[in-house]
This record gives sequence, C-alpha cells and structure tokens, in this order.
Amino acid sequence: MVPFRLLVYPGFLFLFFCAMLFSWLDRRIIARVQGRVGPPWYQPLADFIKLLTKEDVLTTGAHALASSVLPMVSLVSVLTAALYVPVAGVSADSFDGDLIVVLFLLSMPALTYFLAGWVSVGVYSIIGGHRSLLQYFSYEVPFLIALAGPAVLSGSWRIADIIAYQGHTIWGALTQPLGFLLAVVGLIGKLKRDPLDIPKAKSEVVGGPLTEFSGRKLALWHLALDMQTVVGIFLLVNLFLGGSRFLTGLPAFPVFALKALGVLLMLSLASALYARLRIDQLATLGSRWLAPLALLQVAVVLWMRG
Amino acid sequence: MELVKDVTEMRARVLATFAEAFPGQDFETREIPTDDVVITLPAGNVVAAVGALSEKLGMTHLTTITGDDMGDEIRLLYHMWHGCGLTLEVKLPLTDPRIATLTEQIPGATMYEREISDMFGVVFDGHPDLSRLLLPDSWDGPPPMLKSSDGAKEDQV
Amino acid sequence: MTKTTVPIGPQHPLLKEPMSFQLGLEGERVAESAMRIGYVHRGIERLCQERSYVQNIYLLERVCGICSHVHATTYSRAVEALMGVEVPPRGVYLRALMCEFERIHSHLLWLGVIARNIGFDTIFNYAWRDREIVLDIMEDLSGGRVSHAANTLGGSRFDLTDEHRDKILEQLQIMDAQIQLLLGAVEHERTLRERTRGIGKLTLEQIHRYCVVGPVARASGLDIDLRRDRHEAPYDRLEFAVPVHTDGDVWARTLVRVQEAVESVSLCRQILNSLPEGPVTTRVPRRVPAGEAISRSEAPRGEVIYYVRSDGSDKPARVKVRTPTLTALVTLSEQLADVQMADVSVVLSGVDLCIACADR
Repeated sequence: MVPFRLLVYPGFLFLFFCAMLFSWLDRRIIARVQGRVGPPWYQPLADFIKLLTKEDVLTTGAHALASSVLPMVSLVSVLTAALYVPVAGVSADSFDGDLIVVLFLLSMPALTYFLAGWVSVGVYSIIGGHRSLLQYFSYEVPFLIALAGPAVLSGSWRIADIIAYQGHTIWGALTQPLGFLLAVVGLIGKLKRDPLDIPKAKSEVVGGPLTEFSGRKLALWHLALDMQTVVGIFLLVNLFLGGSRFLTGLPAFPVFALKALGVLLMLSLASALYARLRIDQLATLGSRWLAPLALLQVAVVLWMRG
Repeated sequence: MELVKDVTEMRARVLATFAEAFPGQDFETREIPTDDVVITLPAGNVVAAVGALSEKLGMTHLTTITGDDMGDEIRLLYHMWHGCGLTLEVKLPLTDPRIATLTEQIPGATMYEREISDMFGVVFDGHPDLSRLLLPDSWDGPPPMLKSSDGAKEDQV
Repeated sequence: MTKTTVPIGPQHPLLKEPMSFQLGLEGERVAESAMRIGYVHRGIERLCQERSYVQNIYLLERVCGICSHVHATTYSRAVEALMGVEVPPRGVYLRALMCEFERIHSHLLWLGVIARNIGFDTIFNYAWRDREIVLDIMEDLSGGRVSHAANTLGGSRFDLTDEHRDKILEQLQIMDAQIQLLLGAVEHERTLRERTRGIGKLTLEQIHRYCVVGPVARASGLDIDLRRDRHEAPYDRLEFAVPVHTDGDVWARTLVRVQEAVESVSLCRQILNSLPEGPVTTRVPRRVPAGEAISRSEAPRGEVIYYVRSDGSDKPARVKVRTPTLTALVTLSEQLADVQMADVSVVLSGVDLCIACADR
C-alpha cells in the first residue's frame, strides 16, 4: 500500500493531476471574472510539456549546480510535505507533530526561491530575491500563528487529530474565522499569487528570481509552485474546514474536493479583485494588522480552551 | 490665470511690455493664422524678453521651439500660448549658430533646445546637457534638418 | 549602501514604449535615473518637406498610433488656414466626433495599462474590452481602427447616414454604462488608490516650470483645455466640463482621464444629435500660397501644435510638430527621484507616455 500512496494516491500522480487541474481552474475563474474566456483544460499540461522541451539557457556567471538543484529541492520539499497532508482522510504517513514538519517543509520553497534569485546573477533576479525574503517575513509569521490556532484548540500537533477534533465539535473556520482568513492571506503570500505577487511582479522586476530560468528548470519551478498551491489548499481544508467530514453519510472524497475548490475560489477571486500591494505596504500590513490579529486569535483560542 | 482675449490685445500688451524692457527699440510684428502674433527679436534679447513676459503678463507657457532652415539663415520660433498664440522669432547665422539657453527661465525648454541642437546644430550657451535627444549616439553626419544635409545614408537607417 | 543599476527598456515588460531608463537603485529606492529616447525617430518632419500637402496628412497620422486623427486634423487646419479655406460645419463636427472617440480610446487604453502595471488585471481587461466598442465605431466610420485616414484638406472623408447615427448612439449607450462602471471602480477600489496616491506628485509650480500640458497638468490643478479656451468650433456650441484635480499624483491623473472619457461620451452624443446638414468637404485651391500658420488642438494627452510654412511650391517648406509627451518627459527625472522600484512603473505609465509621438 505504501508505494501506491507515495506514487499514486494521494502521492505524486494525484498531486500532479490536482496541480494541473487547479492551475487551469484558477486561470479559468479569473478569466471569467475579467470577462474573458480563459484557456482550455489541457493548457497547463501543454505549457508544462512545452517547457520541458525548451532549450535550457544558463546565464553567464550563474551557478550551474545550484540552479539545477534548487528547483528540485523546492519540488521535493513540497512533495514531502504532501505525504503528511491527508486527502479525504488518507495520508501516506502520519505521526505526532507532523503539522510542524509540514509547515517547515512548506517554507522551504520560499528559501530556495530567494536563493534562485541569488545564484542566477541578474538585477531583476536579485531584487526579486530580496523582495521574496521581505515578503516571507511579512506573511510567514501571521500564517504560522494562524495555523497554530486549530492545533492549540484540539491539543494536538497531528493533522489527523485536528481533523478528528473538528469532527466531534465544529469546523475550525467557525471557531476561528479570523484565523482562517489570516491563513488564506498568508497562503496567498506564500504562493506569491496576485495581489501579493510582489517578488515576481512582471511590470516591476520582470520575472523576479525566475527571470533567468528556462526549459526544464522553469517547468520544475512552476510545477513546485502549482503543487504548493494544492498542498496549501489541502492543509487549510484539513485544519479549518474539517477535512472530509460534512454531515455524516456523505462520501468523503467529493466533500473534500468541494471544500478544496471553495478555497481555490477564494484565492482566485482575491487575485482578480485587488491590485498588487507594494512591498512596504505589505510589510506594514503584516506587522500592523496580520500578526497582531493572529495573536489575538490564538489568545481567543487559549481562552476558549479555558 | 487671466488669459488674453485675442491677437490684437496680445500684440498691444506684448509690445507695451517690450517697450518697457527694451526702451528705444522697434520690433517687427506680423499676424499669422490661426491666431498668432509673431514678433521678431534680436538673438540676444530672447532671454530678457521671456523674463519680462513672465513677470509682467504671467506668460510662462512655452509650447515649443521651432527651428527652420531658411537657406541663408536659421530661424528659431519660440511659440508661447496665453489665451492666444505669441511667437518670438529670432534669426541666427548658418555658420556657428549660437544663442543663450532659456532653461533657466523655463526649465521646460530643455527638450526643445536639445532637439534643435540635434537637428540644426544650434548651440545653446549655458544649457546643462546638450546631449543627443533623438539622433543615435553614433550619428556623425551634419545636423539632418539643415537644407545642406542630404539625410541619413543607407547604413544609418 | 551599494548601488544597483537596473536597465529599463527599450524592451521591457514594464514599459511598452521604446525608451530606455537607467535606474540607480539603493535597495528598492531610486537614487538616480537617466533617460534616453529616439529609438523610433523616423524623421517625419524632414519627410514632410519631401511630400505634397495631401500626402502629408496620411504621413502625419503615423506620428502617433493612438491619437492619429488629431494630428491629421491639426495639420489640415494649419494648411486650410494658409489656403484661406473654411471647412463646412458638418465637416468640422465630424472631425471633432472622431477626435472625441479617439480621446475615449486613448484614455481607456491608458487605464488598462496602468491597471496592468499595478497588477490589477481585471480593470485592464474591462477597460480594453470596452475600448473595443469605440474601435468598432471608428472602424465603421472610417474603415480603420487606429489609422483612420478620415481627413482631407477642406473637410472630412467620411459622412454619416441617419441609420448609422442611430446605431452609434446605441453603442454609446453601452459605452456610457461601461465607463460609469469603470469610474465607480476607480473611485472606490482601495488597493488601486493605495498604489497610486502620492506617487509621481507634481505641484502646480512644477507644471508651470516645465510647461506641462493635458491631463497631467489638469491633475495638478492647472485648469487648461484648448477645446474650451480657444473657443473653436464646434466646442463653443457644446456643453462639457473640464475635470480638474489638485492632488497632482497618479491617482488624480487617473480620475481626470476617466472623467474626461465620460465627458467625451457626452460630447459624442451632443455632436451626433446636433450634426448640421450640408456637405462635409469644400473645394480647396491647388496651390498653397506662401506663408505660415500655426494650429493647436487638445489631443488626448494635451496640446498639440503644428507649425507649417509654405514657400508657394507643392510641398511644405517646414512642418513642425510638438506632441504633448515631450513636455511630460522632462518631469520624469523629478517624479522618479526617491520613489520605490515598485512605483517606477506607476510613475512612468502615470504620465501616459507616447514615445512614438515624442520621437516623431
């Protein structure tokens, strides 16, 4: 069973499928909001395959080894994190404290992203890299605190336990609405999506840290980011929306899928409805509002636990 | 901002200002369509004239400067607008055309003067930066808007 | 702190215009900037001296890819003044109609560009979708979406039937609703305001100093609009407001431009509803008598001036064009001083640069 769980469901193949699907849905939803049609369903896959076949160009002065290893590290840490995030209650592995490991692994891409800018030697890459670090400190703190809420409430740092706890009480999003919203905002920052796509804002720093990447490496970067989206959404569904549980008797998988799509819809709408913030505006927002509010939420949770 | 009503009033007010600023001098004027007065000045008087206009009449809007190679001289036309048009005309010799810069009175003249320096080779004394504006840095021919220039060669296009 | 030099342009996703900037950055702050234009200098002024008066109309349309009609109109007016020809009222109205459509087109295009640059793709898509309505109307009228070739010496080259007019009025109805929607979005959307407010500030004093014209000047409190201030036909018989704001930042420029587009829709309606009967062109003499003429109009980006000198031959002796972008370019180094790297795109797009205009 373990190889199947690692490679097929809920492992690599399933995640790959979800990454393509979510990426397509995201583009489609945004297009609809903007009065466009949007791409056909196979577009993300076609983009991926096309990038794989493209020439791999390395800029002069760039570190060859580092620039090939970094996208892989990014992808691998996302995939490893995915092992502990249950999909409809099924996960490849689970142990006490796996939430902390997942959070750590999900921060890895941010680091590799910064390093990617650093090793590829280009002004836009380096500025983008700096920005990604600054952004990291703005969203990561509130994100971590917000995710600590459900764990503290259920008294366990094991994702499966948190789901179970919500099963016999109510959804985390209902007990901690603020924490849920902050987690969504943090996730947007983590995924560098509009309106927090500051490190890779096209009209400011071209492609950010990934400006000088091409071919297979770029494809891996994109895949890692798309998979991170999927894992992040699944994590929020598990921690805040009660995983696959919704009224007893309903089948687990469709319920889980619907909730995940709901979170995706939130992300897409946020992309479509807001202008990009500036890095200093995000830093102010993070330190003045997001982090204190997250702390407030945890305080409320502690009070609720009595 | 009080605008001048028509060309007649413009001519009268500008000439009155100039009579005060340059006593004893006569200025040749003409009206051209659609609503402009052209006043011809000696090349040395432009800076003082613009200064007097902005001080007395509040005219600070320099629309542009036109350079024109008349064949025997270069004409510079300083187009201003203040309800109706006023154009100050200056004639410069073809060889070594020089004139004082307007950029101190009107910083907005920077681009116009650079363009004329590109296209007609007029030197604006005192201009902070007369580098190329429109022509490529590698341009080594004569100023292309002069009648004596035969334009760009094949390899310069 | 070490300085990084960031090249922007002549090809760069930030700036869809062929100009180049060298920005000296300290961290994210712009410490110095150097600008270079001239990449699309086509020598149009010199070319004008080698073509006939009529050919020049269509050459001068190519000065700008957005406000092509206003260039042709202004030039034609100068030549007509030299010839002493009066354009029949219907021709004047039709020219103005096209100019107003062009203004809507230009401002919506600009709104899309700035929205795109601050990462607001929804407004970008909406603005550019609605722009299509105007482009369609212009194509219907003249056969061209961007270069209309709608002018000739002595009048307009297109005419309207009544059915045609009713159809355009219908399209304008849709346009009106869409623009109001955009105006509402621009006025009330918070992130858009946050990104544009206080950016690229120009005081009224700076506007005077640099002789800036058009929406940029009006956003800084300079109440100037040649359509109104020159009392020229047909604007002296139409009712329109000139939006003026005093903040002087990109936010104010956004408001000025979108409100101007609203006014232009109303102007188009008024023109269509009060279109005089009669011919659209008049006969013009074969020769242009020697002389000179200056003609000015209010293009979407501000004052355009044409100086035309004729020596009596069949080609003009000198045609001088000054486009509004050239005035805004001078202010850029001041606007860019001390802004964040992220705001460079907002500043640059905020003044609505048209480098093809500036280069000629």
